Amino acid sequence: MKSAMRNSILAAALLAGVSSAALAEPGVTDDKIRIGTFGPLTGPVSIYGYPIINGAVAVYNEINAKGGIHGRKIEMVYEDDACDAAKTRAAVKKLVHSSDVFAIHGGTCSSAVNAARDEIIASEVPYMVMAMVLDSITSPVAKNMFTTTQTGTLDGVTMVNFVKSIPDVKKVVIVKNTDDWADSHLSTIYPGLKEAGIEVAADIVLERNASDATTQALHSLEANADAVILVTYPNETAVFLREAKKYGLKGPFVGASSQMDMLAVADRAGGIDAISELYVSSYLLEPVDGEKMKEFSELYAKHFPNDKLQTLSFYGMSGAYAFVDALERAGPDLTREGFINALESTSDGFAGPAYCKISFSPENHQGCTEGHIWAVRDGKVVAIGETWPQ
Amino acid sequence: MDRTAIMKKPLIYGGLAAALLAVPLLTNGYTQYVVNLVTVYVVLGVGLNILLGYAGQFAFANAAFMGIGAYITAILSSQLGLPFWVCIPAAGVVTALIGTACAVPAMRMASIYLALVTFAFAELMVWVFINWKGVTNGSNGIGVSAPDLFGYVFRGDQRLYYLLLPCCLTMLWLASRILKSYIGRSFVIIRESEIVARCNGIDVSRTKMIAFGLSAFFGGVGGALFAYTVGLVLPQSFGLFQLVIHIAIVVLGGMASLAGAIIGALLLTTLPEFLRDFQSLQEVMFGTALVIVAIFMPRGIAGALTRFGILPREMLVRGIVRERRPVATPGRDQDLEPIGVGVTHD
Amino acid sequence: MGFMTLLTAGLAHGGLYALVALGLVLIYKTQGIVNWAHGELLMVGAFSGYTAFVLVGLPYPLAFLIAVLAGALLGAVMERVAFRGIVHEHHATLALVAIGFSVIIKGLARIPFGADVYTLPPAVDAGPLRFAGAIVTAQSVLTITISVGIALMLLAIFRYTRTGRQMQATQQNLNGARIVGVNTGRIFSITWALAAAVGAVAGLLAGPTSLLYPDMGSEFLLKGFAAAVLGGFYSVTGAIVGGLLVGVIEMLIGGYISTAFQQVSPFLIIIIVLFVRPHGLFGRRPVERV
Repeated sequence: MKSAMRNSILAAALLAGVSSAALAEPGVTDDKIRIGTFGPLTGPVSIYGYPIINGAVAVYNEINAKGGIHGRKIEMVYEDDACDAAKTRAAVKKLVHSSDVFAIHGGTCSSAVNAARDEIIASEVPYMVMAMVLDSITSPVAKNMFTTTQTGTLDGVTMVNFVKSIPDVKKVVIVKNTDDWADSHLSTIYPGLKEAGIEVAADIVLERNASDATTQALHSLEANADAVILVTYPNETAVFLREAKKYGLKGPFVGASSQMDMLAVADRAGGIDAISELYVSSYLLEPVDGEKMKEFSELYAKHFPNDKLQTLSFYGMSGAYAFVDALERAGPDLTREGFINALESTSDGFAGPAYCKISFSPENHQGCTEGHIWAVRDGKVVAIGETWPQ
Repeated sequence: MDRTAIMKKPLIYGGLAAALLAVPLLTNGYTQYVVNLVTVYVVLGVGLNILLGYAGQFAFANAAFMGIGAYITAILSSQLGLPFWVCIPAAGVVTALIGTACAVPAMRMASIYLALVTFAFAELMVWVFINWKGVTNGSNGIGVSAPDLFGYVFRGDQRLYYLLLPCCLTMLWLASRILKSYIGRSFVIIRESEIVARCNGIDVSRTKMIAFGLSAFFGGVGGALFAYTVGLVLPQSFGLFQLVIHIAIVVLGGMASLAGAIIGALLLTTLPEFLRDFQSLQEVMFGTALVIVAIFMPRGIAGALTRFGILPREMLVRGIVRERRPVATPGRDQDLEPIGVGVTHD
Repeated sequence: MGFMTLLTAGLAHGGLYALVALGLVLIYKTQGIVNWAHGELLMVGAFSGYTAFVLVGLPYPLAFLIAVLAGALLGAVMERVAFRGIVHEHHATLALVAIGFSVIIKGLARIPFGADVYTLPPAVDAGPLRFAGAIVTAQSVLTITISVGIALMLLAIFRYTRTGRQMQATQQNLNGARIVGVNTGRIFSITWALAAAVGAVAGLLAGPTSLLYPDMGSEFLLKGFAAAVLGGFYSVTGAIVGGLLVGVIEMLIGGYISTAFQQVSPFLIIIIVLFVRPHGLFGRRPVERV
């Protein structure tokens, strides 16, 4: 009631004035579009904060440098969610109710974003996922919520298809984390393996922040499997591969997309030979130093020259390109409704450094579905396709 | 409350009630959410204060009790479709039973071990919330739908406030009644000296169990209110950081003070919101605030305000309010001269 | 499963937990304070070593020394600035101040080191050795040796040096020590510096296995608590024994029961030990006099 009153006062003020933007769409003025973002800017998970957000901001900054969209420049508003449910809710509410943003492009921690889902839907603010990977954000479809990130289930499909293509695989070991991120991967990995008649010889938990994986490596060794599936984060993967090397555990190791920064994993595991048998699912075009990534690496470095370039730098770019494209197509009379319609009509859109074309429809708000596999060849990380190399 | 306060009571309370009821007129969706969190943390702060401040039991399990209450609410309301007026009391009662059961082994422990074992229990509960997937849905958590009463749905933060506020006030009233009763005074005597308590015919074990149970009851109800406020119950919400917030509410607000719990809840809920603009310095500022207030106001803000005469002194029984705790270094605890009940150091 | 392998791996990690417990016990014995920021002292040690050795490029022994001194200084500053004035306050207040420091130190560490995970090379770089059916790294041998060495050194200090005897006097009776002319303030500073230095050593030894990030200390703190509880919270020897035990128990749980329980093993140890022995495994029931 109160905000309606304030809106009408605002509208009256604008009508009385000389502004041509009489349509009082929140966060839009003649020369600005305000976009909110949120992520873990503080706390233990902040390693996934700015590095991811800055990739998206680099895209927006570049658009601004080229004159903006229909004469409007994009202005970012940052909020911290610390990956905590209550704080994520506060961050979204602040963006919607206090900062009056036009749209939101944010959200990295999967379940924390879910805590704000009903709030985002109720606010009707167009929302694009930054990096979270749960299917629940777009299924069932909510009119204003979109994602271009590869979900955990799809990541799991890429992994399982690759495992199936390895010659003579009968038994595998699964080393896994226990959180929602791991669960979403496993929800397609278990049925996929079962369907292919591959036995899970050992199902081993490796928790977050583990500084040792001796028992996990020994269990894997005992299971004597043909491949090891790693649904773990980069640090624990490195710790596991280090122990695997120590105790003579052989691969192939098939990792989730969390381990995309394979050289960082190698660095933490004690050298490139620790990852010589690691195959990682990826939803980016190429590793950071690849030829096709040059354009985006340079873009990021131009706007954030002091940051380290890593795969995280590219996670948020595809969503930003989808936003920019839809803002262009929504025309100069920008409204949330028009913007959402433009997003929904995106077809084979440019996804920047992501390994896909972005397509949305009123029934589908999951824009990217393709992934492929990376591995080390001659000391370099390269994309090797979707199946076991011949 | 002293005598003048009692005489002005209706006026003050009437004005206060009107002001509290009018809060949603001044807020937007975001600020109202923060206010709602304050009401939740008042309940949680009072719960820990009963055990830590009044009964003097240095227990760290409050975040776990909050989590248990939140999960019970989520399960009862989402999966069984029970209304809030069943869920909230159920969360409180079940958590109280668990808290009482926890008290049995905890009662025998010296203060530092009690702190560590309850801390271990709290961390273990987070692990249980994550791994007991059949019940808790693991890290995906359980969604909680908006509560409703005879068809009126408390959807949105402004509406929810009118459910949270009465709950919070009821719990405050309940706490003040209990603390002023025989049982509340027994808590304080046990805190001062278990031996004196025994000499006065107080059943120390039973009273401690009641303190644990009562504290857990408030924790459970607070967890239930938290579940309705946040709308999604996740295991990670009840970890070490939650525990730190609870302890900070009690210590910075003021130990053994209901006003302290209110001040602490207000401070600890709004401070992180004010610090949002400091970005990467947020943590440093928050930690510094904790350290500085604790060093310069070891009695908490309520204690400082009382000393300057701004807040009336909360007295359960005239004469047992004490300003300083005796030297408490272990290894020396046992060598101390006795400090009797009734000694004041004003 | 290879019992010897589990045992040696457990002892290597246990050596680290023992060092963490040692620092906790030193401070607790002297001032009755549980240092909830001890994990951060370990982290500061590791990052100081990283800065001196990897970033500046100093020789390892010098980097080691700098890290230990940095840790000791931080510990002494924390004691002098915060804890000395409030040592008589409630345990909860002390805990909150310690937690406040932990939040501050982590926040400060995040400013230069928050965006990545770092690796500290091992003190001795040698391939794994096979020994009595187990695989041992030189780093783990070094860890166990140093932790036992430090414990022996501390015991010797308590026993044979004037400062050490004054520390014991302060631990046993603060007022008594003051009356006979012990400068207790100095003793407090020395205790914290010593405890923090031991924590920093633990950080330097843990670095190569655990990876360096601002929150690396918390896991070690929990295990240090479990070790200190096992050892009785009052005894230097107890802390060492407790630490090694926690390391081995953790490995045995992961090896023979389930890796799912491995992470919560310190909590299970604390709960079970205190359930059976409410005053710690080697602790005594305090006598209450009236």
